[in-house]
Amino acid sequence: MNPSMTGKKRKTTAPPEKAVRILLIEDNPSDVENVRRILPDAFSLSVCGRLDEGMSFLRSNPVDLILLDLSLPDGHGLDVLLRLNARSYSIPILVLTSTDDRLVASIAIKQGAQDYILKETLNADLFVRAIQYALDRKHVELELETQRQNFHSIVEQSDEGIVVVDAYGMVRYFNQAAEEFLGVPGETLLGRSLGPRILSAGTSEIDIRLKNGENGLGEYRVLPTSWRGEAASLILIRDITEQKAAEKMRDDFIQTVSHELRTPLTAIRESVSQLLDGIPGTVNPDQKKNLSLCLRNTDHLKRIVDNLLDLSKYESGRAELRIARFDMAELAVSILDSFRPRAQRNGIILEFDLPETPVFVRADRQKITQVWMNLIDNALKFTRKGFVRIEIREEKEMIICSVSDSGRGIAADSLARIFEKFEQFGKMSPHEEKGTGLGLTISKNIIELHGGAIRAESEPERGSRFLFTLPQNESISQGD
Amino acid sequence: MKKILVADDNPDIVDLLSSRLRANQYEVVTADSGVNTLLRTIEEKPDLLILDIKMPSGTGIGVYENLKRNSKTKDIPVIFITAYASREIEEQVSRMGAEGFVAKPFDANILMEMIQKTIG
Repeated sequence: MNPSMTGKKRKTTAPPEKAVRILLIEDNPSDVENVRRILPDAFSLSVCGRLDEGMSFLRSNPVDLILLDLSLPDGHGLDVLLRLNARSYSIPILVLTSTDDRLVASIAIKQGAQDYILKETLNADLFVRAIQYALDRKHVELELETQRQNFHSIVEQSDEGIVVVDAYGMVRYFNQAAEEFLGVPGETLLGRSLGPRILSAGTSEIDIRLKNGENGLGEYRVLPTSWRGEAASLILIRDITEQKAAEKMRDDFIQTVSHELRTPLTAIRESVSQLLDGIPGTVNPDQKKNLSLCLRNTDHLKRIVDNLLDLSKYESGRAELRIARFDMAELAVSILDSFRPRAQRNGIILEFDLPETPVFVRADRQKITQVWMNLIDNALKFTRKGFVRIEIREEKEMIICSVSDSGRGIAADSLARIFEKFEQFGKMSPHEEKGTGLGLTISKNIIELHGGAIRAESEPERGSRFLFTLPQNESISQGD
Repeated sequence: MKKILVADDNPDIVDLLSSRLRANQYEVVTADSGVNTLLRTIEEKPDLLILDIKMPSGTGIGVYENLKRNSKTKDIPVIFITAYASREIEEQVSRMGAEGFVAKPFDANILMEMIQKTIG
């Protein structure tokens, strides 16, 4: 509301802030006079006595609202409205009518008029309110239409194919991209069945037609939606031809690189190893020291190559799990036992705290073994005295496994990055081999692929604890 | 003296394996391709084959299947070596019934142990 208006006496009929430009098309002078009399100052009124006059006025003057009499010298009734509406779609029209053509007036609303006002009951309050409502309604209408058009053009221009299929499997909507991908002309789609394609929610891959006429690969996603208030399926089709080709190239590349790296590593390792074994002749102790160093580093390089290959499989989503049911406690103890000689050499006590009954889990035994080995290996590496302890607990359809140690611990800022690639922290115990900096990243990938989680806790100078959880869910049914 | 056929297309690997095997008192013959391996196996009747998987003119897997179909060669034990090691290949090899699988780069001690166990 305009504050300057509040002092005036017009209480209920404060007009909009800017002057509203009204065009009155009316041939009856007394009606014109009547309107002029009751219309507040904030409205600027122009009057045309004939329809063609009104039309030409509209061509050259901006108008916010049209007041229209339905009986004019050069036109009558709905005709007038239709002609006018076709010309000035965005301008709201308010019909002025006498009691006897009330029916016509209500039809006029169906034809696009915003409202009608009976000339007999015309008063200032009512009039201003009707104008305001007409303006508001038109504004909302235009806004909705603009939005509809915006959405329509967004959806039509989308690279993603969009199809809506109703509960009976009939196509109710499709966009241009969908038409292209499916390779079917639109007119044969609408109202028809989509054929034998899947309609249950989920993601799959389908063959698609590309713009250049070639065949490609599409991601086909079905989501539940509603159409005109009823359950329907929304189908999204995305061109993944290039993405798939790139993934395959990446995989092939990594395979090739690993092979190309491993072959010379084999020759280097075996040459050094033969020298150390004295096959080509005896070597002196100093030479032996250098050769041992060479061998250790070759093995380190080999582990990096193996880990990188492993990691690339997880990152490209190509790692597969071989799910089988096994006793996690039994596995953990056997792994811990394999570390006993090394722990004894370093004077570290290996402990475990496990439930008395078997802890069955469905998981990839080989990959879970890799995680345990990695965590225990790390714990031993960074613990100079004290213990390394493994624990398994069952809790709410979940098993919680942990490896804790009494080592130096990990600083808080390092802890936050500990699962990232090539992050290595802390000072290792002497005689321990350097890690690849990929073990924890791989462990994280393995656990997450199982639907579990992994995290690290640490208290500097007191020790660290790595925990991972696995769902104890019998429904994982991959492989077996 | 037991005779071992080393089949690998990389001459460095062949040389190194040969010297290692000789040092362990084995007689060594070599081949550098799939076809060559088949021919040498029939000619030399080795006691054991160390077979690389990726070779020109016939992969190690193809060579293996061929040998197993031939009554004269089907009983020769085979140890696969490959730089393309993966869980899938290892499983495939073990399903086929090969005596061993070693990933490159290998630890020669483990390989020698495997040979020792297979042919003595």
